[in-house]
Order: sequence, then C-alpha cells, then structure tokens
Amino acid sequence: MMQRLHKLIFAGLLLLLGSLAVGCVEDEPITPVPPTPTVADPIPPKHPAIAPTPTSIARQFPLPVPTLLPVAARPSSQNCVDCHTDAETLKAMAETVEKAESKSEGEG
Amino acid sequence: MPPVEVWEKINVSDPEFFKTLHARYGCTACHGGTVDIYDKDAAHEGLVRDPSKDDVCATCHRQTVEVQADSLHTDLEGYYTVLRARSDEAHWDQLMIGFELHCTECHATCGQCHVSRPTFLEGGLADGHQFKKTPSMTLACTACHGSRVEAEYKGKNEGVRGDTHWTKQGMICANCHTGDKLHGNLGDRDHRYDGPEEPSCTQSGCHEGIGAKQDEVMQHTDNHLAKLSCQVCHAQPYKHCYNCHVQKDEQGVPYFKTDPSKVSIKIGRNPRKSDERPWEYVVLRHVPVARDTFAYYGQDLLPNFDALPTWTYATPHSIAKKTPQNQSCDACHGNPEVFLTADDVAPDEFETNKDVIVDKVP
Repeated sequence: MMQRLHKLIFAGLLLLLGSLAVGCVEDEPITPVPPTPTVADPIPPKHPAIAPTPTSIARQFPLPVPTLLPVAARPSSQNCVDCHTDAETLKAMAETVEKAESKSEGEG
Repeated sequence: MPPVEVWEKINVSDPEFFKTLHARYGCTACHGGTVDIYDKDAAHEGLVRDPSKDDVCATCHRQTVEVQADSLHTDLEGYYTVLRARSDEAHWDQLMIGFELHCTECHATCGQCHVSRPTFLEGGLADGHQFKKTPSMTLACTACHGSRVEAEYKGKNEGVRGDTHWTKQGMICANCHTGDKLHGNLGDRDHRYDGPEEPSCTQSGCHEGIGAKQDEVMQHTDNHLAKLSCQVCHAQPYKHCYNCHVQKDEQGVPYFKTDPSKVSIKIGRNPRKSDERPWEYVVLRHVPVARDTFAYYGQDLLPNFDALPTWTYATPHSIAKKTPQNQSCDACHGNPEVFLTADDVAPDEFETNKDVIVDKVP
C-alpha cells in the first residue's frame, strides 16, 4: 500500500517538473499563411444595381394598344416585307395565269 | 372595271402602312406563311390569302365580326330566300350547283371591302394594304353594285341625270348605308327589304317634316304620303334586266347571258306591303331571273317560279326633286307610261305578276 502511494507521488512530481520545463521555453512565432484564391461567383442582385429615378409621365389618351405578344416573341416577317414592297421583284416573279375568256354577254 | 396586274395586287406599295396598328403584328400573324425564307414557294407554305375569311379580324373586332355573320353581304340570305320560294326540296341540291358556281362571288368578307378589291373584281390590294374604315365607293361598293346602282347614281344611263344625292351633295354610299347597317347590326334578315326602311328618307335626320305645316310642297298631301313611297314621285327612270341564263363553256368556265336592259319608270302595286312599308304604290324593277335561268344545271329547277313576281319592289338610286312623273298632275295621273300595266308584262310572266300590275291607272 505504501509502495503504491510512493509511485503516485513520484509520477506527480515528474509531471510538475515537465510542466515547469515546457513553460520556461520561448514561444515560437506564428507565421501567417497567405489566403487561398477562390473563384468569384456573385449572386445576381434581385433589384437593379442603380435604382431608377422616378419620373412623372403625362398620360396621353388614347393609351397605346397593348401588343398581343412580347416583341421578342413575334416572328419576323422581314422576308415577306422585302419582296412585297419591291415592285421590280414582284414584276419579275409574277406568274401570269392565262385566264379563259368569259363568254358572258349582257349586264350582270 | 378591269382587274389590276398580278404583281400589283400584292404590292404593299404604301410605306405608311408599316406605321399603322395592323402592321404591328407582322405579316404572318394574319397571313401565316413561313418566316425567314426567301424561296418563293417555301415562304408561301401555309399562306392564307384572305385571313378575314377565317375570322382573324375577330381577334380584335369581335363584336363586329359576330354580327357580320348575319349580314346579307356575308350569308347571301337574300338570294337563298327568293330561290327557296321559287324552287323546292327535290330540286334544291341541283339548283345549288349552278348557284354556287355563278352567284357566290357576290359574297364579301371583311377584307374584300376594307383592304382589297372584292373577289368579283379578281381581288388585289386596294390601297397598298391600308385598312380603310370606310371602304372605297368605287373599288368596293360600286365594283359589285355597278350595273344598276352605280349607273343610276352617277347618271350613266343615257338621258337620265345622276341621283341628286351624288350630283348636288356628293354623298358616297356610306353616308346612307352606314357600317352598322351593312355589318348586320340590325339583326338577322332574310331579305334586304325585311323590316323598316334602312336607310329611311324621312327617319334618318335628313328629310324631316315632310307633309308637316311648314312643308311647302303642295303634292305632299296626306293621301300621296300614305299611298306612295318616296320613289314613286322622286325616282327618275332606272334599269330593268331580263332573261339571265347561266351555263359553262367547253372548258368549264361559267358564264351568263342576259337580254338587253331597258330604262324606264314603272309604278306598280306594292308586293311587300306591311306596317313598315304600307304604301299602295311603289316603283317596281324587273329582275333578271327567268323560269329557265338554271336550265343548264337541270330540268325545272325553279318549279315554283310563279311564287314571287319578277317585277319586284325597288328603291332606285336615281332620286331627283323633279322627275318626269311629277312635272304635273297629268304626268302621272292617267299616264299608263309610268305604270306597270298588263301590256308591260310578258305573257309567260303574267300569272306571277298579276298582284303588282296596275289594272286601272289612277
């Protein structure tokens, strides 16, 4: 019993001496590590970056007629317009259909 | 009126059109076709030549298009009404073969009045694709109603002056025949003379006070106003047509033949007497139908030909303040020249016209 007690006291003294020895050593300085570069992925803002300045618009009647489709959704008709506004093209492409002469006589 | 050149019919020649509301939606919105292709045939794939036939106009003009379906210009019900009376069920289908081939060109769509020439004139843009709220009198109204109405109204019948509404007032058709009436807003009608007079000389805000104390025309007596339609005194001689026959030539092209027309005034008994048209005497016009008009398409297709007179209720567009029959009392009273008497009626048509013939000239 006495022998076990001596062992515990001896171990406690060793721990105390070790702690004192460590505490007397000078602290090593911490060297800052440069930050790791990351890819920017900003979240799109929900609102315009610059708030529009409110302006008062005079209402003019009649109001413009609402369009049936958003402009971007309307199919282009440029091919139609290009041909049907060019008289020379129309003349060149016109197909003359021979129409049988009517035998009608008198007033209709 | 001759048709225009093929290329001219489809030439959107007025750049102002592209600034208009109807141009906003692009060509294909109404006409279909294929976008972004410049090959003629491919671009025209799915093209709709006259979109108004398919009620495209109803997208915006719903109320007008809805009633337009009942317009006589659209449903041609006036023709069907008289043909139903003169034909019968057994002959109807055969009769319709001829009718559809010869008579349905008179049908008019929205576009045929407001955008292009009517099919009767072989179509073609009337004014560079501009939409005309009031159709052109020449290219729309009288293009179809030319032989009788235009000739009378503009004084093209030899020896007869034009209608005073034209020669003195310069009034176009739409001044009296307004869009409301032409579009069928008056309701579904079986014939153009159904219901009250539209337009009415005295109820349209023009000739008011006829027969009232301040009226200085001594012939506007109660007796005259009760017994005579306005035209009895104020129509100048107008056109009568006879013997229309329809058939096809060797190539299958339909054609018609009519006898020479005659110009005269014929006062007869009112075949459409009603509370709204109560007059005893009206002016009558001989219409071109004959017993065998459709004989090419079948035998006796108008078996009830005598059901309606061939001298019919008329409203000539040859109105004048002074006319041959109102020059004096004797110009009308006792003058058989201005009345429809038995001598004026062909023997074959006597039975059908017996109720409108004036037996004793008043």
